[in-house]
Amino acid sequence: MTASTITPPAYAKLILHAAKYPSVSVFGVLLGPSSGSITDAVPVVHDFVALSSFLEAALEQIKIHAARTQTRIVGLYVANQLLEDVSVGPLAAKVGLEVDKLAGGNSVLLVVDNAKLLEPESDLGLLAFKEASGAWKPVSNGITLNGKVWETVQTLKDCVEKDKQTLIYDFSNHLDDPSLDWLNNGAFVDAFQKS
Amino acid sequence: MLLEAQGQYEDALELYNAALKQDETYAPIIKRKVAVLIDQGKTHDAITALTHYLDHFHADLEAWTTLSQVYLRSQMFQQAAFALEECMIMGGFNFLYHIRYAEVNMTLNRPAVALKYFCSAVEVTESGGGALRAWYGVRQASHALLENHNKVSLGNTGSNPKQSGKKGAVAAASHGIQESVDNDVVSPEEWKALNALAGERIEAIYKAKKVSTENIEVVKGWLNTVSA
Repeated sequence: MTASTITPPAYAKLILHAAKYPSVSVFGVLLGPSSGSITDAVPVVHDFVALSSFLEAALEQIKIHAARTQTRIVGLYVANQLLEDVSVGPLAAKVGLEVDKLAGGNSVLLVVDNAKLLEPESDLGLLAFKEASGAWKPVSNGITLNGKVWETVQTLKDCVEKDKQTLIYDFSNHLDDPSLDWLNNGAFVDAFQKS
Repeated sequence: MLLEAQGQYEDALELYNAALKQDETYAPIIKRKVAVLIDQGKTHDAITALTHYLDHFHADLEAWTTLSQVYLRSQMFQQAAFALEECMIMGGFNFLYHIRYAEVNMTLNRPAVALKYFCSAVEVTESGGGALRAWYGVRQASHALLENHNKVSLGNTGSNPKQSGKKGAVAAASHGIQESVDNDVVSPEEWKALNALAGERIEAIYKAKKVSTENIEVVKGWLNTVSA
């Protein structure tokens, strides 16, 4: 199983989505030009629970958005509610299989290692899993950053200090206020790139 | 609570249990105990403690809300629905309970019940922005009902369409509250009308909020997948 790569802006979005909601789980979808290459992350929900109609609407809209921006669904990310929980829970596994179908197979499931979030700066704090026979198997060294790890993590720590994670909007935020751009999160990307 | 914040759960629990020995009905401490159990990941124990608490302090909306969240996170949908019903009795003015109840019913494959509560959520919501979640649900639930109806009536040629619609809703649903819905007279025509209305309302909300054209196109594309 080969490793996946992720760009700093995509990494930033998923980490800060988790940082924005430290007391609950989060879930989002990963996009990229081809499987194994992650260039964007779309945050879907905080407090990840099995509400089928909500999740279906999110996945369908991401699918349409990906087609319109010449990109593909290549995986998903989750951060669990409890600090030391780095497992692929039953809901993540199930939704993961749906996302894998949308990706046409070979997708990657990233679990955020909450305890390693932004500390140490040398660690991405992510665990990678790939689907095999209907289950998610861990891939050691399964995810690398397409950039400098230490600098990126430093920038993110800085962002959190300045409360930039509040600029990350997920589909749930969008339903409360449709002017929030959950598909692109352009405002956050600008702030991140300026740091 | 300091011990809780430091992650020393067992020590915190010892303190709480000692306090409860002095007065076993002191509600705030019982609730802290539940919070500790949830943080420890001891879901089963948390549920036992919380339901025991609610047996004695029935009218605690916050506790019922917490219980519904714990059930939902443990994929216990039937129980979550029950807890949300209690929430709606006490807090029926809060559209979020209606919506969550409706969403749980969608997960339980009961689109008829879901549709009712997405509609009641619309009624209870004041601003158009808050109702977006509800209109999304009306669109999805009405679409699901029409899909089931079409599947059933394809094998039911010649029978009364109103009846097969109800049969379709029954066939698609599981037991329980569904029985009370059988006496409803909502028909496929009304599902289609609600579906169309939801689409109109959703597009109107997006336009009013001056959402980007790109985003509106994505939403329109999605609306097509859940149309009548």
